[in-house]
Parts: sequence; structure tokens; C-alpha cells
Amino acid sequence: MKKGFKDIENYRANLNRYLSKIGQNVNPEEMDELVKHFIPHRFSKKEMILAAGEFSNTAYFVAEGLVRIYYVKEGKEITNWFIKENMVFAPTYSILTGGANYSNYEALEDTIVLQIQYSVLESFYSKYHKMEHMGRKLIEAYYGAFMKKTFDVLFLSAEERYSLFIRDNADLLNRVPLRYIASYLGITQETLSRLRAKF
Amino acid sequence: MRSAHNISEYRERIRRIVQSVAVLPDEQMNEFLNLFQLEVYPKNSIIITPKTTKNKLYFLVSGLVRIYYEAEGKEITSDIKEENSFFLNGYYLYTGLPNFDYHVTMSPTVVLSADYDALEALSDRSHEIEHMGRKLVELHYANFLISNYNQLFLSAEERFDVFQRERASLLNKIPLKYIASYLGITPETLSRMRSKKT
Repeated sequence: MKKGFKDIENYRANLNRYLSKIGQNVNPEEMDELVKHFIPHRFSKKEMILAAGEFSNTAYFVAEGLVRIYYVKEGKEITNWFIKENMVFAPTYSILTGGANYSNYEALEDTIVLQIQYSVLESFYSKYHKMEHMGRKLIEAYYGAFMKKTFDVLFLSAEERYSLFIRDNADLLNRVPLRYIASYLGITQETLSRLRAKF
Repeated sequence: MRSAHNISEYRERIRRIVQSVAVLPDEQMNEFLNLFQLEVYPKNSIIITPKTTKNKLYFLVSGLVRIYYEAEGKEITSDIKEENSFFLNGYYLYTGLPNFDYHVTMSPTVVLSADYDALEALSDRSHEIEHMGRKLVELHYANFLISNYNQLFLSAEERFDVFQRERASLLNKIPLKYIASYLGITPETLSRMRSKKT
């Protein structure tokens, strides 16, 4: 028995629910089979899950905790994403281009992930038609989220980005250092403080 | 009147490109190829407008298509499609939100287009087609990630080098202001770089 993951069945049920929403026509037994291939891993607060420069072929589901994804440019950390419980993340640049991944994936809290090799996922896609469909939808959702983030910075004001952020992630205000949230929103900490006072 | 366009030859080109991504049985491949129909556009036609909800997958047979959006009163060119490449309204299809980019022809342009819903229906019926679709989306996304990476981590000069290496043929075909916009630099900087190289 896997020691230390007492809630593993619960985590797998959450992962199953997450994937079933995207792969709505996947047969439940097939989904159970896939979910069993995800392996739990624990990361302590501040631990690096995957560092820039490393190659990776792994996809992750956050069962508990919180992950920050950031890159470093000209000595500055730019925060791109926060991935909290019941969300997925994957170093798609490394997986799909074969190049070294350029982001850092850091546990902001004690974190438990369920992880799987992309090649194992693909073997399920080959086996089950509806799962291949789910795989495409996952990539499309990832692609869409990336595009949306790029365009939100261009088209929305700092205030609009902030109000969208707190609508979807109110809990993160108390879980994440404000400098990371400011970086994520593309604003200074001073502007963030002003916006917080206003809303 | 007989059309001057040989659609089967154009579909054959799609077959060759798609085959490098996934191998399909003849029957499925033909069903897929037969979804593509001819569309012919003069220069400066808009193929995809903002807020398009009826969608197609396009294959560019000949001509050039520029993708741009307007931000702060300026046109930003995000990509230029050349012959033998695919394009679609990815923003709407992948986010479910209205797109704001234009796909506009820069010269007389011939495309083949397939109705997106018909493609989805075919993917539902055929695992092989679904597989091919996933591979194509992954490829499309990988290209997006690479250009995003270049924008983030390469200097203007390095981006221009990549452009010259991979898209040299465009340099004499389109106004430099679009290339400058695509590279995220001013036309003046681009001119300086070009004269430095020669």
C-alpha cells in the first residue's frame, strides 16, 4: 500500500470528475482504468516540481495544494499561472516541441499531485476513441487559456483583469504572496494595493 | 464552364501534409478530403472577421493570408500564412469567446475549406480522424508555443534571423511594416537590421 496518501481514492475520484467533464462520452470503466495510472507525489512548500531548462514528458493533476508557474527574464520572475486543487498543468512546450521547458513549477503550499507520462496518456488515446477526443479537448483548452491570457493583457484594463481574477480566484488572495499576484496581473504591487482597497 | 482549379490536385496536397502527421486508411482519408471545397478570394478580402461563429478549417492553396488584430489603435500582425498551411478561428473554437482577429488576403488567394461541424462529426465517427485531429491541434499549438517562446526570450535581431531562415520568401513579397509588426519591432529597426545584414 502507498504510505502517506490516505486520501488517494478521493483524489482519484476528483481527477475522474475533472476528466469526465472534458471527455463526456468516455466510458466510466475506461476512465477508471486511466485514472489508476496516475501516480501520487508529494511536494513540500517552496519545493520545485520542475525547473526551467529541464525536459519533461509529465502531465499533472493537483490533488491538494497550489502550484505557481513562472519564468525568469532579465533576472525578474514573471508569474504566468496559479494552479490550485482540482486543476491540471503540464509543461506543454517540452512535451510538444521536445525542447527544454522554460518555466519553473513551484509548490506554493504543501502539494500533492497525481502525475502521468504523456506517452501513457497517448497509449490510452490510441486504445479508446472517446479518450482521444478528450485528449484533443484538453490541448484545445490549454491552447485557448494561453491565448486568452495573452489577449487579456492587451485588451483589458488592470482593473478589469483584477476583477476577473477575484471573481474566479478570491481564495488565492489569502494563499498567494501579493507580489506574485501583481506579477500575474502585469501590474505593480502599488496598483494592486490600490485596486484591493477599491473593491 | 470548367473551373481553372484542379480541386483533386489541391486535396492531394492536403493528403500529403496530413500523412506526415497520421496515417489514415484510404476510405477515411477520402471522406476527410471530400469535405474540402474551393473558395477563391481577390486581394484584401476578409476570410475571417471578428466575432465569427460559423467556422471552417482552411487550407491555403495559393496566395497569402495575414492575421492581425487592433490594439490601442494599432494593427498588430500576429501571423502570415503561406501556401500549404492550415488556419482556423482558433480563439473562438478553443475559448468559446468571440474572436477579435482578422484573417485577410494579401494577394489573390485560393483556399480549400471544410465545415468545422462536419469535421467534428467525422471525428466522432472515426477514431483515425480523431487521432489525426489531435495531432494537428498539437502541432498548431506547438508552433504557437515556439513563436511565443521566441517573442519572450529572443532579441529582436535573433527573431529576425529566425524569420530570415524560415520565411525568407516573405521578405520580398509583403510590405515591411507587416513583418516589423510580426517581429514586434518598428519598421525603422527592421530596415536597420536588413541593411546591416547585406
